[in-house]
Amino acid sequence: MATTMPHVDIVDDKPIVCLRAGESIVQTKPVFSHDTKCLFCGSGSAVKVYSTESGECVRELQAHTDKVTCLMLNPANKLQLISSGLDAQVFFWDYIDGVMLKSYTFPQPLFGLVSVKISGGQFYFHVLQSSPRKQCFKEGQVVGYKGVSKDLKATIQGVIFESCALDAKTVDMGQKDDYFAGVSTNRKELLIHYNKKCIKYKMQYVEITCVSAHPTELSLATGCSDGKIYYWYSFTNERQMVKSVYHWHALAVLDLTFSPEGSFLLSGGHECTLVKWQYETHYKDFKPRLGSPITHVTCAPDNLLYAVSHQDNGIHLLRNTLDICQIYQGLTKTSFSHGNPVGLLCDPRSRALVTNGRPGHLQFYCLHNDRQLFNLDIVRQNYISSENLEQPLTVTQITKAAIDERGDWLATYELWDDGEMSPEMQLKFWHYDEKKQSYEMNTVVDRPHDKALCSLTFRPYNSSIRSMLPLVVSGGQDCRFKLWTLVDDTDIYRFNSKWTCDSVGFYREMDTGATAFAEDGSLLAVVFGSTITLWDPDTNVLRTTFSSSFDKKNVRQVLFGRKSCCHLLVATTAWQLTVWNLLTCSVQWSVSIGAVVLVDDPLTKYMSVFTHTGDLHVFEPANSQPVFTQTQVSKNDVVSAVFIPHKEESPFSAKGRLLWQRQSQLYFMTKEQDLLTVQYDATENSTDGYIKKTPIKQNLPQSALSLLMSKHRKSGAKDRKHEHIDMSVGIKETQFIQQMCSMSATAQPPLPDFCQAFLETRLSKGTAPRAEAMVIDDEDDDIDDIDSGLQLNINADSDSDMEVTERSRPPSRKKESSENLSHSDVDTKKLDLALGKEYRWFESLVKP
Amino acid sequence: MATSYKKTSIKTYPRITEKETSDNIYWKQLEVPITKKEYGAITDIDFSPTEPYNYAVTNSTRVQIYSSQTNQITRTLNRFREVAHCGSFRDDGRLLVAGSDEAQVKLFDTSSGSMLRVFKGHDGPVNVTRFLQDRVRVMSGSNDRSVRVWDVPSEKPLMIYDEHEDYVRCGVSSMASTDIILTGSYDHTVRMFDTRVKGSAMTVDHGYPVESLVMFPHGSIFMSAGGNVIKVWDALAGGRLLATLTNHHKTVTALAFCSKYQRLLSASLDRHVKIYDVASYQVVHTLDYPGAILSLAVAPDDSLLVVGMADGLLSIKKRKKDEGEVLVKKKKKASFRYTLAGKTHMPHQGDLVVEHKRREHLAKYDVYFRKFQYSKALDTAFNPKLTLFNRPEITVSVIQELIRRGALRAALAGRPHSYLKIIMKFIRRHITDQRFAHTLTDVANLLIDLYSDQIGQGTELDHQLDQLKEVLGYEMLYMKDLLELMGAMDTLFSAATPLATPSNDTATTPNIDLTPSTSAQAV
Repeated sequence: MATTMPHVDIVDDKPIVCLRAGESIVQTKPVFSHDTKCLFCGSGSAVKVYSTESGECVRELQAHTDKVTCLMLNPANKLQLISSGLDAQVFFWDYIDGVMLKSYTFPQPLFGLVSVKISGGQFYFHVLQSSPRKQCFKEGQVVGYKGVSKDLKATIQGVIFESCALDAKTVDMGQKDDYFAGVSTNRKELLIHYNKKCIKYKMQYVEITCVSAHPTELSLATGCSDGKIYYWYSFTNERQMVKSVYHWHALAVLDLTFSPEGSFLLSGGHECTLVKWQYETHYKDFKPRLGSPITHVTCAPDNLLYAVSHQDNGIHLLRNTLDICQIYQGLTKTSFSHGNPVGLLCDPRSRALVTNGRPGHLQFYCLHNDRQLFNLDIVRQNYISSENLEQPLTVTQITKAAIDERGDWLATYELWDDGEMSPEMQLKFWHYDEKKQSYEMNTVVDRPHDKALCSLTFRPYNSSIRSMLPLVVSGGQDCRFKLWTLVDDTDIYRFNSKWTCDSVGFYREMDTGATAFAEDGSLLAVVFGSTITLWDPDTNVLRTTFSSSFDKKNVRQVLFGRKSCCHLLVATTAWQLTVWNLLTCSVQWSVSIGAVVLVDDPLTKYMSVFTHTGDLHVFEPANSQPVFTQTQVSKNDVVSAVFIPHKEESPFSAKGRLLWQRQSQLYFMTKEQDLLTVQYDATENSTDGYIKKTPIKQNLPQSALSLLMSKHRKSGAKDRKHEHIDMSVGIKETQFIQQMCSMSATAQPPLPDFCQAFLETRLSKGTAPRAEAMVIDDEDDDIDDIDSGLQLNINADSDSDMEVTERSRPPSRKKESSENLSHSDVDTKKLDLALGKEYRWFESLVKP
Repeated sequence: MATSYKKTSIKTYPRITEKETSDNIYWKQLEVPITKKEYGAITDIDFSPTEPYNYAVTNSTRVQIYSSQTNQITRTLNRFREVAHCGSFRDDGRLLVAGSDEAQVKLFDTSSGSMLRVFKGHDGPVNVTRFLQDRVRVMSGSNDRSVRVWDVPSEKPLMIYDEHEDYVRCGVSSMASTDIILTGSYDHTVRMFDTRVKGSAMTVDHGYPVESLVMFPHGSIFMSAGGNVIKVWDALAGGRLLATLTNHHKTVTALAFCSKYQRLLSASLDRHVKIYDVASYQVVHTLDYPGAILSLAVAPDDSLLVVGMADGLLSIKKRKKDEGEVLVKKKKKASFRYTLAGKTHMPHQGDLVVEHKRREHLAKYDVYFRKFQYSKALDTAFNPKLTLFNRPEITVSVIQELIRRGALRAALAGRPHSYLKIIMKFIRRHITDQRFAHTLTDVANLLIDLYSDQIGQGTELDHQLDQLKEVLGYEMLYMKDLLELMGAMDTLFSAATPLATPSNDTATTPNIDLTPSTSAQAV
């Protein structure tokens, strides 16, 4: 990529979106090395070499430019691995040194290698490729090729099956007798190519899902969609053909394989059970509850190990006694239709990505070395495969989860709802056990809310308050939010602490939406419809409400600014991103973009927002000008995102457009559950072999249009600014009156209660100008005090304070100084202020 | 990841009434009490320190010795002309000493029942008599305010202490020393005497007339009961008060230890026996009795709890035999050869070691769930044993699991009416329980769906449904009442809250005085 760019510095400035970690390792049938020390499996466009003893990924072989489809050991040299890919290439690898030895280019993408033969120094391939005649996706053909060593191109030799199913599992070749077995395109016929002629056997009603040839005898086994396994004998002669049926599986058999000597047959399917059949007897052995449907089964050459691939992107290594000895687990993709309901979270301890994994589990995935750390079983129920694949069973799903800042507590919410029976829901709190190095269940709350939960947030810890207890807010669709706290439950028998509901809040019976805590945990923002309400989390008292008059859409997400932007609140609706100033209770700026995902970096002040058009904007809440913009980050919708802190040295230097990623890296997940990130293209060379990038769309330099657009947005924000302030004040007042009027006369509190609210509405009108006045006031004080030689420490706190309660102090100080000073102009000015042309002085009374 | 079968989780719900603790379980393992009615108030109970732990019950003019096995009177000592007090055993259980209102201390042989000694000298009724640890001396306390120490062989008083200013009511001899005795009196004091010296070694003021005393065997800490308080004193620190327990609301009359001195029991006129943890002095359990309690004692092996009441009622509670322990013991009785067979064998290098896995014990419904036999799983859930033992949560959890597996409809279908009756009965009983209401409503709906063709034919099912309707009708009325009450309370709350705000304002008023700086202007 670097060579195509004329200037080096531009290359550096060229961030691209790339796939990062978590690719499928179960796309191909895994293959053992001849000594069973290594296991190969295709992972995206790479081949991963795992050690069967340590379970580590020892090598990654990268040369393919598209998905790897099939792996095979070189029959001529057992130390070589052959891989085929959709990029129409076959590579020969020396996997010990990790060197690519030879490559052959084919005219068409390869979907599988059926056989490789060497005779007379030339390689003969039989490959599975898509049929050229019809553009049918499911139809393929098995073609023989001859590898010409001169130009390393393969030339066509002959066609074995003109038309067959395009699935590598359904094609096999007899090891002794030179026959090929395949399945017709509609999977209803078994095809045998023997002695240059093709024999067809028709199946009744069922489809053949997989084929495996016996390694020594003239027989083969086929798995069917009804769960039956057929053994076929003497099928080379149509009249003498005999078949026998073995039936255990209830659902379709997904893969079959014979042991190297052919004495056992291994089969797996949707039941998550590995079945070991003794050849030609009815004896069988089971390994149940493997966790997830089995997609591939492989047997080691010495018959001591079996590798079983699962749908959850994991490979189990089993001994021949069916004990598990090793697990290789990739990033599990969930079976949800719209990504992960939990979204992406970051575990502060391990800096791992936390998201939904297998049904009822949370997976902790380390992105730094691309491996799963562990799977936390949240639901603790058995995975039951459904009796009918068309009607899958409803499983209990984790729909919300949150981890606190220190990683001590994890809160999860699980929901079982089939739409017919009454839903089952549980809120669970987990404590991190240092000794066991995992999360232990602490409290289970049955039915925390009457309806499903829509948000779950931990309060950040404030380092200045030591005794701060962990606090969780949960917002439910029952128009309530609940605050949960940790309470001491210790008695003479044990030390224990548990979570209980501390208080419940609601606002005019409006729908609860997102929740957020301020950085220091002193404020809680809860969205109710189109209104943002601010609460004191300690007392659960409503402080103030924000609601925009021109945007009546429901607020989707709300976040407090961090660091220098901690006085700002960012809220998004379907078409608008608005930043509120908490000090003035007014809109700071606002742009109209359709935000889908809003996420903040816990270490910096930056936030990033993904729009419905697939654009990424990174901004700081104080400034409406984005720090970084990338259009069209993904073809699919972005559904969740997270900032994950770097583990080691940051790859983003002090300069460049990705400076905002210096502390933590942004990861985001699309609807297709691809985990993507943004980084410099140039870093490809410097990073280790783990990362493979596929540029989706390169970012263009700022065009005239984009400049124009940003200008327009900026000016638009400025214009609106003042309007918003006025509107917000107006809203407050009208809201108050509305509130008064909406209440029935009987339910109204006594009159004195209205006084305070009334006074507050008077107050907020003068808020904005007063802030300026105060600054001047303080400066004047400084001068006075220095002149008079008064204590400066009083100044110190008057300078720093923005607190309302402190405001009443200047007049009192004035009193002291006035004893020494003569009457001056400055004093009168202050006096006027103090006496209050505005009603500032009673502020301290109203807002304690 | 292949895992072992995950058991069906039985949802546990927080108990609002009482927390289940190990002590609660322990004290609930007492059998139904045996009660006996005596003529007069039972003033004292004492267990023999030796097996078979017979106990002496003092009431009116006699001391009765009960067998701990049969709980029948084995011997009655009635050589008293007036009311007897404080029949207490020597630490070998062979002798018993008791005082009486005739101002005498009498010594009996417990095996024969014959009176061996009479100590005369007190001027008033003798309330307390105890053996000293050396077995040859007896201490006594009397209404004549004196405490005397007697020599058993010679029948002569060795020491006379006249320090108490009111009736001496209780006393205890130290188990750690042969010479230390403690006495409590109505003059609010507890005095410690060393029989080798004249005059008290230590005096502590309890604050109320002292009714009972106990001392730990190490002799450093003792407790005194009087009024409604129990006080814990450290004798080694010169009578420092360690703790004050005020859990009773009437006079505490008796104290006792149990569970190898880990727990303290106190009995009171308020008809309660409270059990304390001696480490934290917190109440761990409370037992209720029908009358005002005057005396209590626990067998040294904790097998019996005997309580005597003012109206002459004697309550004997026996601890249940733990059947589980017996079973475990049986299992351990394997032959020596068998148990050692595999344990000493060391596998050679290269041997394939196959571990023997002990099969995990699963509940019956889990066994059926594992085999996907849903109807049978439901059968076990409605097994009368489970429902009778008041564990509806198990049944509901099994139903929930069936719902989760989408198998409830199949499991409920095609049942005979007798079976439906059991289910309907269960639903009727528990549908109003908020914890189970959701699930059981679903089950009821499903039942009506499944058996809709049989409804209205005057069968048993109709009757059951009518009953269910009745239950639900009552529940609705109840809910309506509750809502009305809630509404009334909400009104009260909203009326009460505004009162708080003005007080806040007044608290900050001093600031107002400072704000108008009129004085500053004047200067």
